[in-house]
Amino acid sequence: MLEVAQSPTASSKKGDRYIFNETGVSNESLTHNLEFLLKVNVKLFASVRKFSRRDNLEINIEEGSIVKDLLSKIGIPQNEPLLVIVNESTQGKETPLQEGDTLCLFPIIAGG
Amino acid sequence: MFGWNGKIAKVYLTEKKIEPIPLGKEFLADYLGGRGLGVKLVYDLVKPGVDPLSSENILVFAAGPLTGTTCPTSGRYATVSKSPLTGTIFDSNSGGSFGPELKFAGFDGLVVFGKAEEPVYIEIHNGKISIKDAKHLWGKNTREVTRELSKFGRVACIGRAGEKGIRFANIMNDYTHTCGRGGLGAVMGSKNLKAIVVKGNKKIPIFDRDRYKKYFQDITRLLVASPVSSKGLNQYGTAVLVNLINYMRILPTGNFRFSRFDFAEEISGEKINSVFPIKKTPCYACPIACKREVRDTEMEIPEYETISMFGSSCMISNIQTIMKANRLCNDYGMDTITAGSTIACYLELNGKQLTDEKLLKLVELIGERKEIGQELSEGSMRYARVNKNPDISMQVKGLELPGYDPRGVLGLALGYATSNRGGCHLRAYMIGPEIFGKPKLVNRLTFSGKSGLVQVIQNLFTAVDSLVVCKFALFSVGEEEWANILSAVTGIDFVSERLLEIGERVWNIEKLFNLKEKFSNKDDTLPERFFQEDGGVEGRNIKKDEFLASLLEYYRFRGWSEKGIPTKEKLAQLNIQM
Repeated sequence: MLEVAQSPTASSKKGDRYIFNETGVSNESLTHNLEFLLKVNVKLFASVRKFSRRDNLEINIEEGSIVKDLLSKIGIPQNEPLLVIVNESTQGKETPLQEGDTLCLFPIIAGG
Repeated sequence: MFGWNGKIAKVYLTEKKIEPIPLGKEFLADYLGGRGLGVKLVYDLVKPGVDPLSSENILVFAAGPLTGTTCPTSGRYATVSKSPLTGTIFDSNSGGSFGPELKFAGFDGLVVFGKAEEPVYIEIHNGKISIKDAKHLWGKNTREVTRELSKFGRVACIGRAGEKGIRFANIMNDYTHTCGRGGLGAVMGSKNLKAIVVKGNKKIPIFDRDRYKKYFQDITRLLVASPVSSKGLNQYGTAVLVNLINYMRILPTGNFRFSRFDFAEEISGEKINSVFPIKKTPCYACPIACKREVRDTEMEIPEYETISMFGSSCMISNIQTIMKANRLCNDYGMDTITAGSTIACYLELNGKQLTDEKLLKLVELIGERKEIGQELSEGSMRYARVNKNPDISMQVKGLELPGYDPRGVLGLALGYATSNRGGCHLRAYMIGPEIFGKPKLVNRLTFSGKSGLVQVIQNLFTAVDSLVVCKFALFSVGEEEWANILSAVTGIDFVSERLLEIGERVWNIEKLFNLKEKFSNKDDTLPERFFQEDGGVEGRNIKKDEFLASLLEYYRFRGWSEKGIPTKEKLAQLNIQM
């Protein structure tokens, strides 16, 4: 199944999305502004949980986005110190996102 | 003398004799204190081949030049001896307030020789040392002993585990702080020494107060500004690691057969914070304040390592049960990592699963050295050997591995293998660079570039263990700041390189001790499981040829032969006499 961006003309409500089925049925105005979204799974931990009501999120975000864009979308301030893990690998906030990525967001922690 | 008292006391329990020994400034500048001082004394005074639980072994308690000042995180001291668990030289350090009080009482350290005829405790009060009768305390656990003796001062003591010679018995101080690993509590018990009580009001003289004040402020500012110390550890304690380490697929699960635990959230720092009202119980002079207990109950919140062993490695998902097991271990005076890992080994060997009640029963049987607890109280290496299945003991040089599966952090794998005291994360905490990206991020899934890094971090950590300050501060404060404040306190000019050289000197002496005890490069390895099995992540078993190549490179970086033996040139460079 393809997932596409919401048309600028369509009603805008956070989290809404249009889904094309495999038969390709679509409407003209949508295909005109076709923009693919990436689906990304986000898990929040420890004090980062205060930024969302849910600890596990599935977020659609524009292709070409980086971690920082995702943080804005969730409502996490850009200067919040975070440990960002993308697909089991520690990454920076500039890391580009890919379809199906899993992101874990922790406060800066350490210990032993 | 500034910083140091310039004095240790030798206490001969057999002869009931006490001998204060002055220490020279030059000697102290080469070894600092804590681990460094203790290692030097044990190396010089314990003959090769001595049974660690015999009267010929010695036990050193040592503070450092910063201990007892107001320098942040300087409330620590070290205990050093030959370990009954590993047979290696072994240091273990602890926070709380005991270390500073030892300095206030007028000593940098204490060396205990021989064996008392009957149970005794040592009391140090403003420079005066007495050996006192402890028959009324024998048979009691650490909480009760501490309560009884704390009217006389700060207390470090053993519980029943130490009395019974359990090979991983610890030394508890200030109720909940512990020299946890390596069984030095059993060494104390073998000497019929139940406790040490210290009290004093001596101030630590500081060479240059103005410079000290400046560097004190620098370090405090760095600790407060760093989110690691002011937010992560301060708000959640080390238990916050459970979810992260689980997600990274390095959480020991079912005795390291697996690397992810389905119920990690149930035993996580987040869970603890959501269920229990927390009271912080910081160590002396520590703004990080990671140590915590449940408010109004004095129930300790377990550290990450304890949770990983009693929790995921024993497949227990009830945090309250883990807390009770932790409390039992603290009270009997036993290392939670070795206890948890030995139980996990027992479960694998017998194909068993645990109930919460059974876990607590097993811990108690170990503490009492009864029934199956008799065998388990020897630690997993001996237990697995006796049961003809040595490969299921998850240890290096006899010390059980802590809560990080080395297959997913290869620098730590090398750190485990080369550690002088056996399987330990605190010789070179490679989780810093490999997971947290501190001080800088390195690829966790390769050996490339790790051998040089591991030995530098080992040297740094050895120096830090000799100051003695807390390794958690190293996430925010670098060696330069420590060298600066050490110079201001002692009046001796220290720079980063000199600190690292001290670390390297002490590391090499530890290595020499172990070589005399017949340890060789063959012991610098990992449990076979990590080479043969992938822990549930395809292809993640460690490739032996890559590991061995990295080990050889490590020896080269150290200036050792390819058999892992320090060369004459290296020893001369470090001013070590054979």
